[in-house]
Amino acid sequence: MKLFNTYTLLIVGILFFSSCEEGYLNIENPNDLSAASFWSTEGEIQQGLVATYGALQLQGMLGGSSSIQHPVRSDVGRPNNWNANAIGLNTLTYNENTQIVSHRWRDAYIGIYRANQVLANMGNVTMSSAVRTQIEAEARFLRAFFYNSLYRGYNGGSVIIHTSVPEMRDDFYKKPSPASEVYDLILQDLEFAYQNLPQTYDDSADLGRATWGAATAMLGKLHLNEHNYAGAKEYFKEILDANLYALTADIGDNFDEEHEFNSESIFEVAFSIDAKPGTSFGAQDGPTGSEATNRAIGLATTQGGGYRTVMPSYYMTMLFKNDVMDITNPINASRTGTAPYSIRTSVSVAIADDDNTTLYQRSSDTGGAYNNSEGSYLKKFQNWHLLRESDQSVSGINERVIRLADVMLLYAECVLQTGGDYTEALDMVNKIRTRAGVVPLAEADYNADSLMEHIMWIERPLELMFEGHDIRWEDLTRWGKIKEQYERLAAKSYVISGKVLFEHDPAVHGTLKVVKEFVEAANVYSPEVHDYFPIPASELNSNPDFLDD
Amino acid sequence: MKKIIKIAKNSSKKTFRFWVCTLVLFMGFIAHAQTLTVKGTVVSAEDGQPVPGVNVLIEGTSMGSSTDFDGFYSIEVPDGATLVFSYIGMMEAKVLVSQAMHNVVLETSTTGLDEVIVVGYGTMKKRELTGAVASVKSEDIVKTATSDFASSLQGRMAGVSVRQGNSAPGENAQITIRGITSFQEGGSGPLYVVDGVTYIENPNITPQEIESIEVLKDGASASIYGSRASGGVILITTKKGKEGSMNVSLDSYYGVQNINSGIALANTTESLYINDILYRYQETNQFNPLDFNKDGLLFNTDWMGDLQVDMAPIQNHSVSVSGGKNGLTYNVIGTYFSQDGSLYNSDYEKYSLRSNTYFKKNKFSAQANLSVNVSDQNREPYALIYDAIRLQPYRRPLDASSDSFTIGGTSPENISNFAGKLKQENESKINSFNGNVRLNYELIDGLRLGANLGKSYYSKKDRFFNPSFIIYNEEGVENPTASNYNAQLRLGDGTNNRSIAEFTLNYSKSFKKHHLKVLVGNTYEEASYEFYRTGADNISNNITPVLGNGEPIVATHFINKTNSISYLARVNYNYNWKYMLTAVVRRDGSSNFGTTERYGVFPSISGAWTISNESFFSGLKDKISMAKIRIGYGTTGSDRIPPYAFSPVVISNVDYPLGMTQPGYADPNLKWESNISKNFGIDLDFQRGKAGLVIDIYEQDKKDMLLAIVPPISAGSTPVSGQTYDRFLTNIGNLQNKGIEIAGHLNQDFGDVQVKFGATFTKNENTVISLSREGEFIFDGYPNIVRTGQTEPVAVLEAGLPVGAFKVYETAGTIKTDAELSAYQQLVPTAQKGDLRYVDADGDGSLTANDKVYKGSYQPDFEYGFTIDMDYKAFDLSVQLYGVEGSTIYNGAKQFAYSMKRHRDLVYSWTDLNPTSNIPTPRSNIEHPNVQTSTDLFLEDGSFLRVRNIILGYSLQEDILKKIGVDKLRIYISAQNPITFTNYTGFDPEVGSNNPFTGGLDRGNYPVSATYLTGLSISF
Repeated sequence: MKLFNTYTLLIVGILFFSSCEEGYLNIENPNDLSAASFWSTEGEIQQGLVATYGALQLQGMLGGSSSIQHPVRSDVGRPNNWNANAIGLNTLTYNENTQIVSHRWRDAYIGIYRANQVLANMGNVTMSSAVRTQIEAEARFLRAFFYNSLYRGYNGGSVIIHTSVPEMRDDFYKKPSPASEVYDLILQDLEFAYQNLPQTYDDSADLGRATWGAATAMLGKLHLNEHNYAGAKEYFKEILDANLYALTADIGDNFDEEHEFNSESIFEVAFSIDAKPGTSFGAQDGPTGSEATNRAIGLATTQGGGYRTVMPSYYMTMLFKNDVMDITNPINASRTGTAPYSIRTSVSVAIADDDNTTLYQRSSDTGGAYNNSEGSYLKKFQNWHLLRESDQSVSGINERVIRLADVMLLYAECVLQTGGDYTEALDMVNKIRTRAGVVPLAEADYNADSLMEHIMWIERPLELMFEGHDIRWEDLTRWGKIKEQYERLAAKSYVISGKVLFEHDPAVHGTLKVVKEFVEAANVYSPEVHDYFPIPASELNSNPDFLDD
Repeated sequence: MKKIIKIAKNSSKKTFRFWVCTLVLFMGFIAHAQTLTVKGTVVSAEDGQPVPGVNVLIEGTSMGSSTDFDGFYSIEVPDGATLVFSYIGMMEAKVLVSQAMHNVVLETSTTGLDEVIVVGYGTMKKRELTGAVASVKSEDIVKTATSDFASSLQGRMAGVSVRQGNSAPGENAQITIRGITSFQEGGSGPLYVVDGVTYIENPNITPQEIESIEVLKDGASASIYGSRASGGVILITTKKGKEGSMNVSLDSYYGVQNINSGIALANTTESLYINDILYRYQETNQFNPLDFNKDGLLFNTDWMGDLQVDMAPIQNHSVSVSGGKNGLTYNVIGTYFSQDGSLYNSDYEKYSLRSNTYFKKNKFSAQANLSVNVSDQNREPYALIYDAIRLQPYRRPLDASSDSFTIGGTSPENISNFAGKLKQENESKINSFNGNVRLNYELIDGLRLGANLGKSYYSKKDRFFNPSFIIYNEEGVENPTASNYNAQLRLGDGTNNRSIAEFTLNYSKSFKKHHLKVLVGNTYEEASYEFYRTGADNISNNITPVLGNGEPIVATHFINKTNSISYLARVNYNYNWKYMLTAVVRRDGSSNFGTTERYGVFPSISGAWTISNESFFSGLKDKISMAKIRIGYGTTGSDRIPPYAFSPVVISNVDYPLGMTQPGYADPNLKWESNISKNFGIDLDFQRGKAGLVIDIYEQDKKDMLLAIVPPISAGSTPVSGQTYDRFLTNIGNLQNKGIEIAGHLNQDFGDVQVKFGATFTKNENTVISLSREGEFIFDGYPNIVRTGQTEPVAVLEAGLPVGAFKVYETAGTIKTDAELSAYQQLVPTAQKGDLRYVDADGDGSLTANDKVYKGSYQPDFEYGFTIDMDYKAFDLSVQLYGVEGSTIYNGAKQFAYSMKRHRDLVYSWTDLNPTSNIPTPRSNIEHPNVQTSTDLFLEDGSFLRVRNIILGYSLQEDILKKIGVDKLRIYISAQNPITFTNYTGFDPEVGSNNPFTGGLDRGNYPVSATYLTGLSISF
């Protein structure tokens, strides 16, 4: 009984004299670092900057889903007939819920939030002024990159501006700012980057960071899209004169994994198949998925283990078929066969009768099914040298966002639009054509106007289709040529005969099934409605202030 | 004609004669014994008044009499017989006949008003109650064949709403008490307390182990559990032994289940016609499915039917052994339950063992409860119903049993995805151990010191295996896209570890007519949850699915810990069982909040007045044997948030391996959600328990409701699967629940048939009072789990509307004429004839999100339950009905079938040839306004009346039982959910979710099955 009474006392003691309450209720988060204790060293600020670069990989930015689908809105891509998402984009029946509409918005703002964290927190950290300037320049370049995507993408350029990190709940809710303010922000950020970014990095570990060249090209494009040709021309010229970049000998080097960050590259988004192949099924180019992209698997043929969700348009396919190889060009020495397509054609698209190349280690005609009214497949940014795309559905090929060939053609455009010497422009075009292995333009055949037409309808699509989040749409909107092009393409008819696409000729093709494209888009397109995406429903549903007056 | 009648008359005369003879002979047989006439009066022990209508039976026979209005009876009995006096609400009395006059006094039955009710940290007699408490006993709990006790409560308690949102084997039903009490997922669930040990989630107690379930519905009753009790409290008491000889009982049932609901999908001919309509109005990207499925017309594959398992077995066997002597009692129950699912690859198996022992010696008592559960659940592949909806009937059915198979036609990957899913293995194994020891010591007379020490351990191991397989086309060529070369294994392990230590002092004292009980105590609770997941890709073959045979690539690990400290006090006082008062206060501290908002105080007060004990009431006592009114005011709270939520974090998992960023936001001022509850109740008891009625009216005002909202997308938080970085947890607004609950019973005998009727009625009105920002609305609730990101949410949180309110575009049929089209093109330039006509609700000439209107909520106008239990001699029949009226359900499966162009309705959609149809024409864009989620097109009336249960039992008569040495033997057959009356066109209108935003969404939920079973109970 005595023992029992001791216990009784003990229990009574616990009951009435409990101590250390505060300690008992203080539990450190063992899973994640607290934001309050982070952002205290230069290294941590650098980590924040790396995470901002990481946002470039997101699926609404340069990750797979977005890069795959965007081109079907312009004239370079067509969706497979069961890819309802892309069909929506192709027929302009997408709406504010369509994933491609909402993801681009979401992912650009993720990047902006991360850039703002770097900019907001770097002030509290001791570091050298050179490092500080460098970090600020990179963060502002990236912020401008993301804002540019929004500015070009949505609501006439009028989008929400965050330049600081929201603290309290009320800071979240903002109304869209006028397009001019968005433009000014992009301009200021890019100018800061232009003035402060280095031309090159010494350490190869820094490949992929924004450079002076990237900022300059972005500035050029920004002015160009506002039709400020003279201003744009200066920036493009600076790049051409800087002697930093050169066209690669083989155009294919710009589309594969082996030749990333080559002499032609101005800005790339890095992907890797090894660093983090995927955390779940297939490639996750989602927010925190892999370092790889699912772009290749999305576009590969069935034989390549892919889904061919999007293909080059019939228009694009015909352009490639008709892009005549220059037999006198030594780089074509080994190219023969019944359909002697150019090197550029062979590394960009798969056409069944292209004998000078392979497709997933098969001949061009057996590497793809060419059924289902499919006229060609994309090879750019595909691992078509392999037997098939990786079993994990991922690809490590970097997304080339800006490369020299793009800048050269834009410079040529500026020369032509500012009444400059058209031979200077022609020279730019011919450098690109020579590298592509196709017949150069003869000076005698062109004047300023016809050269501009050539750049618009032949050279830029052939060289740059499916690149940089659909450069082509940016081009067509700048030129105001979307309606014209949709109508031109809707009037065309094609047939597929023996796996190969032809323009329809009733006399030759008889009873073959006739296929068309862009008919719906030509019917419904109006610049006010379709030049920009609508504000995503996800924003409207989460931001009651957006529509408020 | 006449002749025939005559013959009939003759024969009936003959029959009549036969029966008269038999009867005479029979009576003669009885009369053979000496008889005696016995008379007397039956009075009530409580008030000495005569009791009319008392049954007086000669034991062992069916002969008897009953008392008249003055309580007088008279009966002829054989010498030496025993008379049995029985009356509802009173204890049975037996009298051995020894004289001609026997006056009998009947005691009031203790199963009525003196029933002991568990109320949290103690018990009370039913008549002492001042709050709203409902109770269900074991015999009703085991009537439902289920592994989940929650589903057996459906319709049985007023104010307690039970929804089976997912009927997969092993899944638990959701319980909400007095309406939705939280905006958060899982937040409306009650607190569970099993033998004094608290559980935030359903503790998954095997139904056969439960003695009783009490539900503390109002704040005054529940506030003793303070910060946990915002959603009400469910107290579970498990079975204890009784002193006496050992009793062994066996219970078994076996049955089969079928799904008897579905969704109307197009067959091959209909599908081809729908496709034809589609391409009639679309110029490019056309294709004829038969071009690529040459033999398509040969098939009419029912993919949905192929997923369903007919006659899926269900069984349960339990053995219990109980008894005790000399202050030691024990009860040991072992149960085996197994259920095959009605959907492909789903099943559940559970073993449970519970041992409760109780020991008492002098002033010391101790109780030790131990329970072990081992279960194994296989889940059907994720979103399988969506696949079955999507797949076309003109595709060749497939046999996915081998590792390679042939699929012809276009896009074989769609079918191979489905085939791959059928081959997946998705298993969860749960081992749980719960134990607690309660010690009690009486320090001085009336003062007891108690300690309750409990530990619960729960480990869930998940295993997911996605085997590799190879697909060939019809020419025998390997198809790399459709094939899966990458066999993947994922293993998850989550361990929940909880400890509770609770110390109480109880004092009770009666002096004269004053009765006082005082309780003070404190509790410490620690909960930790540790989870890790790992996995490997490229497992070398399907026969050796272990990590070592692949390349491990995934690792996730986290630990969540919560500590809490509470102090509690309760005073009960009653004066002469007439006036009762209860006051409670609890102070809680929780580590889930930041240092400034850590503590909450939750007081309550309630009182009751037993009017029937007043002298002025005595005239009514014959009719109304008890009348009591109760009134209560109480506060409770909720700390149901994940730990560490008040502090923002930085994460490294943001691509480009070295990057670190703050992925989202956190509210440093996060604080408790509080709930003020007012309750007014009336308890009535008629003719000593023959009938009873309990009515409660309540109002609950909830303040600072916690919700993890989605910040504007433009704020830039990063969505990470399995994490909530893209949510901002904050105190968002205020909510009110008002309602009325009625529960009644009536016991009535019709001759030999004894009938008990029970009914419950629940009406709750739920309104969002305000949100923290003026004019704010919060959308959530995606009707479609496979296209969540691409579709619009349909439920809104907005002041003035109920939680889970559907706010969508109103539609006014289709555009049928050119005139209608050109008018509508002012709103939508791209519209075509056959498109749905959206209503420009705000009349501003454009369609914007502001045109969405409130179109009902899944919260019903009322719900109701009926039970009828009948006994006739050896037979017993029990019928239970459950109904829900006025609930609106979003038929997500229909929306998906529309957008995939698979719903049979589309055959009748608008075309030039069917120009009056209001069914929108199919379009290739799966987010086309005709099929997008946010319209009223897919909202349906979800009212239903379900026959929950029909049970017919037969118990062997005592004399036979004695011969075979058995105390009790009953066999029964039962039909569960056999019939549902509803206008709902989807699978089942009983949809539910523990997330208030998705509670009304039928998202291809696992449908309810009808179950038919037979069972046996035996004890000896």
